[in-house]
Amino acid sequence: MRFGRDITGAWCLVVGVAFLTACLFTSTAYADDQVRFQRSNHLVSDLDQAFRVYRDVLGLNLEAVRTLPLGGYAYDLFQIPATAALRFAVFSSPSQKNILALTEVRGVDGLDHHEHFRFPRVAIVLESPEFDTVIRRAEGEGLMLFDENAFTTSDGRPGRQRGFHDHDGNLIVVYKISEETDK
Amino acid sequence: MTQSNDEKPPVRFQRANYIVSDLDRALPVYTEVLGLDLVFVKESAEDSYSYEVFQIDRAAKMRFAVLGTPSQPNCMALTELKGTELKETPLPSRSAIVLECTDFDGVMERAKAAGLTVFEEGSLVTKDGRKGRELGFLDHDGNLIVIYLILEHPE
Repeated sequence: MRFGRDITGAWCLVVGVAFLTACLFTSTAYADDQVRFQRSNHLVSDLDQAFRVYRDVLGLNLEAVRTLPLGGYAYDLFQIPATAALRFAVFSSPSQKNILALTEVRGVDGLDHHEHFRFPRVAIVLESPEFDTVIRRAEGEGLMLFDENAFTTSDGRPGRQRGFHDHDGNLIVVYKISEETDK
Repeated sequence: MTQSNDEKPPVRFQRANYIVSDLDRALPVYTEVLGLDLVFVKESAEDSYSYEVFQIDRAAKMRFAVLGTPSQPNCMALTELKGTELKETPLPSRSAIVLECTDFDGVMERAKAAGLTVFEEGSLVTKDGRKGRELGFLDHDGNLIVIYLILEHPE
């Protein structure tokens, strides 16, 4: 009986320590993840056209496409006229689930992209080891590309970067860190 | 030009970058209201590539701030433009950043206290059936920020 009580007590101790350890790690993870960047979301005028850029040129995986309900929250947030029809597409990279989204706006007169092309207020920056392939594909898609630029990261790594616009003037910058410094 | 998802070269989203007119005013929105970590701030070089891709007047001065989360270093950046007119953000807004925040109410309260434009809260239902809350607000330059919190997971 005494042996049995000792065993029971030992198990209680093990379970208790395990529980406290789990609580400690859970609360630490919670504290570390108070905020998490989920995705950036960009308006486009033609989703099928945009797929050729984000899926075929950049190499992001298209996860889902859906029609957004008329009058839904996106209308309020983006301040889109209620007459517009919206579709939503979300993309992932191999290591980043649902990291980028596109919202297609249809049926809005006067959605002028000209100013957006001239003075983009937002850029997305992506790293691609297949830098030259991405650029070749962007050129093949007829996108407007800026000249390539050499850069050095804040921690001293040299690389190449190049910017281009999607068909709606959204600014995309792709870069690659030199392989020598990766090793 | 079409491909299946299996034929893609690897690619990784590094960050979104918003233009702001005053970094000192913008940073508290991203650090104190949202809770992102400030990684570094630097003066941009006169030959910075940002002049070219953002088509910024070379007379303008730029500063660059990088922000992150504990598990996502450098996921967000802000580029400050000084010495050039930053036109009002055209509507509809062209982009949003979306962040999951466990301290949803805290972020909302801090955004309101900072005097930001805060939209009415919305109900969120994800494509896989999760339910939650979402809230949009604008930083001082009209850049759209959306936060959400998942409350219910389907069985």
